[in-house]
Amino acid sequence: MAASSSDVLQGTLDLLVLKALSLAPMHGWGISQRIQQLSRDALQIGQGSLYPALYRLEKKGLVLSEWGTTENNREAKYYRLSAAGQRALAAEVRDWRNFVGAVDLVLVAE
Amino acid sequence: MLRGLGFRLRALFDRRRVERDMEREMQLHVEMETARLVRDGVDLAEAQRRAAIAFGGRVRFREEARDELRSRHAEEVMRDIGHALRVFRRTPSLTATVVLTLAVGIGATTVVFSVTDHVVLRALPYANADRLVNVQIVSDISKLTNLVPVNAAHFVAWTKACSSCEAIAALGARNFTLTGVGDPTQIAAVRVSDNFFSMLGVHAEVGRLFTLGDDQPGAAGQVVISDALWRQQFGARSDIVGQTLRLNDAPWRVIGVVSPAFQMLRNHELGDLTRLPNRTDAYVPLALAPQEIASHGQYDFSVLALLEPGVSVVTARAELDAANAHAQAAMGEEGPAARTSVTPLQGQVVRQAGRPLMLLLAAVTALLLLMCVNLANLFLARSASRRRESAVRLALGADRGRLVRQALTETALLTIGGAVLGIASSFWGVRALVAGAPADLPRINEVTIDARILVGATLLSVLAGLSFGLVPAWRFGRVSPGDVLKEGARGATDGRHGTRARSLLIAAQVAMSALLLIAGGLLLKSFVRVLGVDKGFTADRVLALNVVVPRGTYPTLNDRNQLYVSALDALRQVPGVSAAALTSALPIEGETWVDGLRVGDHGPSTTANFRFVSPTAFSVLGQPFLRGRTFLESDRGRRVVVLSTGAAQLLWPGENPIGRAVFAGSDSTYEVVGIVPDVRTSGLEHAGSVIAYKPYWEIGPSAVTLVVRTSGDPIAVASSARAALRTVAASVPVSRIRTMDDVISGAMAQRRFELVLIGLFALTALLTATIGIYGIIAHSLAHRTGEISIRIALGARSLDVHGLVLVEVLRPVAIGLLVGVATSLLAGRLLAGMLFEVRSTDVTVLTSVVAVLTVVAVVACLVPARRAARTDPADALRSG
Repeated sequence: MAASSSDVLQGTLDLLVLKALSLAPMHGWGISQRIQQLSRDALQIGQGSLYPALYRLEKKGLVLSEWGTTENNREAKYYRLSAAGQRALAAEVRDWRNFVGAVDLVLVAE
Repeated sequence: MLRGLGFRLRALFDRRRVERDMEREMQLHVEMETARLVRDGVDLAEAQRRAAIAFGGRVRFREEARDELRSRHAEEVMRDIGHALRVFRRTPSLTATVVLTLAVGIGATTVVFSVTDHVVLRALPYANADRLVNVQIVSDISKLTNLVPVNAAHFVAWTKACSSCEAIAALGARNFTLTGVGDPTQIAAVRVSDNFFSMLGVHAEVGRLFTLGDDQPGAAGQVVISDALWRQQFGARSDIVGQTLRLNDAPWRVIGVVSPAFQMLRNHELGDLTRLPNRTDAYVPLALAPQEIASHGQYDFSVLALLEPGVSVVTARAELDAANAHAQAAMGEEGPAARTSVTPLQGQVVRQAGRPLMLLLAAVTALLLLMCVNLANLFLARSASRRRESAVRLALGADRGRLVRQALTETALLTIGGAVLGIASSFWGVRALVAGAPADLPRINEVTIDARILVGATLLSVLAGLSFGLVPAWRFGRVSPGDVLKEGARGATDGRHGTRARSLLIAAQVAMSALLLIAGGLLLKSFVRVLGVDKGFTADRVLALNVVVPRGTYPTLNDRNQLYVSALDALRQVPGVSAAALTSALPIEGETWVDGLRVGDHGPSTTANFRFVSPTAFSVLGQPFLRGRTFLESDRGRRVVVLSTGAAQLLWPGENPIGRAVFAGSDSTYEVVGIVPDVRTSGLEHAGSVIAYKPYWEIGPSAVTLVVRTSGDPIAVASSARAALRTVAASVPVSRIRTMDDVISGAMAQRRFELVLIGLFALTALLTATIGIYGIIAHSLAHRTGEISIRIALGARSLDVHGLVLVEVLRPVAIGLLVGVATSLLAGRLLAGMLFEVRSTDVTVLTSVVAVLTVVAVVACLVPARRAARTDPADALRSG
């Protein structure tokens, strides 16, 4: 089932963005493509809502940005994870697993 | 908090670029999406449409992104403020205590500092104030001071010989009666040399002031009037210049009005024995008469000099001394020449006010410190009680920085509230202080709160806020949620750390209150001592009327004496008056007419104050005759004198002085007919002066004080007495009416002022310390309910609980008292000059302060102790 954009919880979107950036620095469009691709099109995030999330993460110091050029020689803003971002990603992944595990435990109960 | 700061700063300062980047980024995104769709085979128009849909509402995201960029911070601040306000509403009494404490502290400090600043620290409002000096003569003629005014001959010698002086000016008070403009009025004038105004850099408001040459005999009859006189008597008429005033029945032409900005020197600002008017109405040329220059006995003039730049006071004095010697030699006189004293004017003017004000400043600083300690205390206690709250919030994932920011927001709000209230009330406080200050306090009327003071007060508030605001913020930042929550579950006893901090705060509070209370106690005791001095007279129901008889209307001795006889008769007829008398000077209003007393040609001699009185003056002013009698009508034409005991003892030690002959300020002998006690002359605090009384009819003085004894309230007969005088002599102005009680309380004004201020500070300090101790103990006990319950459950009785609390409080109280008393002993010298017949080590005062503070501390902690002792252990332990 494909979640509509509004169904992606805000905290989850941050997690997804961090995860995508942990693989390689990229620009906004790249991030949206990567998430879609990794989730095998299951998660379609509202592409515009990516940007408020990116600014929020940047303000928290979790991601850093700089202008660079794409392979098509266009100027684009590239985002990458900071050290704090890597730590935060690890923590969020752990929390997510705990959460999912807990919800699972509830669901498997007869 | 530092993370992301660079980003935020960029967002703040380079908003335009950030917005442009955002737009570019989003545009690029849509283009890339379009390109992907085209690669997948969608035609361009459709691809553009789909890309835009996939992106979503660009405007909305731009808004959201913008919010993320900046407003989050402001929003957080608003939320913090809202939170703080809710906290304040929940704890109204605490909030009010904090704000009021701060307001009192900041307000009082601002007021005292602005007064000190104006009276002591600020330069006199004259041109070249730092080079102005006051010149006096060193002499032993007065018992009160060894500095006396200058005689005309000295001044004339100096004007010719002082190369260190850029200018040298003389002043002398002179009273006039102004007639022809309404009722006859007394005009307080000062004779000034022609360079006086230019030396001080004074300008005219209208017309011109005296300039060089106005001292020549031909220029006599010119007068410059004050701005106040111009407005009050002449309605600020612009045609005042050129008008002729009748002063003492002689014509004087007005040449100008002094600028209202000019503040004339007044009272004793130029020396103890020169009395300039409290408010100078007019200025006339000095125009020394030849006989004034020739008379060497009359030390009547104050001298101001403007030193050349770089010339020292010592150099100037040496030069003036040399001029004295030269002048003396030129006149062929023998003996050592008069020595001069040269004092910087600034120091001279503020000399007496300086020390009390500095003490006041110290007191107010101590009070402010005490209040800050107290506030730190309250906040510490509160932060302790909110440790659980913050621990829970931390455990739930709150940002530590947010907690600290929130604590800071609360203290910032409280500080702002207190500062605004404090600064606002300081305006009112300055007015109250100026109104209550003794008139002698130099330049007190200039005191205002200006921008500099306000900046100072604001800085002070920030410091105060920081001093107590950082403590809880720091504590919040260090809370370790696990420990606190576990501690809470155990029903926490208080940590060793908390106990020590509490003891320190209690000790500090007690020490500072002790200091202020001791200062207050010593001043109070001095005040009582001054009240109790043997004045040498008693005057409970006595009214005093100062009159000046114009010599033009009553030119001869006989005219004046007849006027006085009928005036005293008329006053006696006034209902409610039981006796009336006349004296040339009232007691405790200063030394006047100092002259010599001598027995025979080579017998013992002394200087004395001479008074000219009516026979009834002794009984009206309550001066008992120790020997002999008062003057009689039959003494008219005889040379008789009444002496004070001091004079008799100096002249005829151990013998009966009645009937003896003495040279009393003249070349002929007087018969001593009576002896009265010495009377306090120069204020209440200097021992009584030696006085010689002569009958008024000998010289018929033209400025006298009429005194009447009344059967009821003396003020009640004031208007009928004035009316009675008018029937006898319509042209004689009554310049002042007051009771002798007023005179006495006027003499105590400075002391009362100091006492009231220091007393207020001391009481505030006591109150603050009481609240502080109560607060600390109550709070610490509230936290130890668990511990106390266990003790009670284990069999501790109420008495044991009380003992536990008392021991804990009394130790820091004892330490605080020790520190306070020790400091006051060390600082005693600062206070010594303000005490009267009380030593700064006074045992009664020290022990009373120790006792009071101990009792207060015990009471302050007994209340919470009682509550703790009543704890029901079962309840407490279950709920803990």
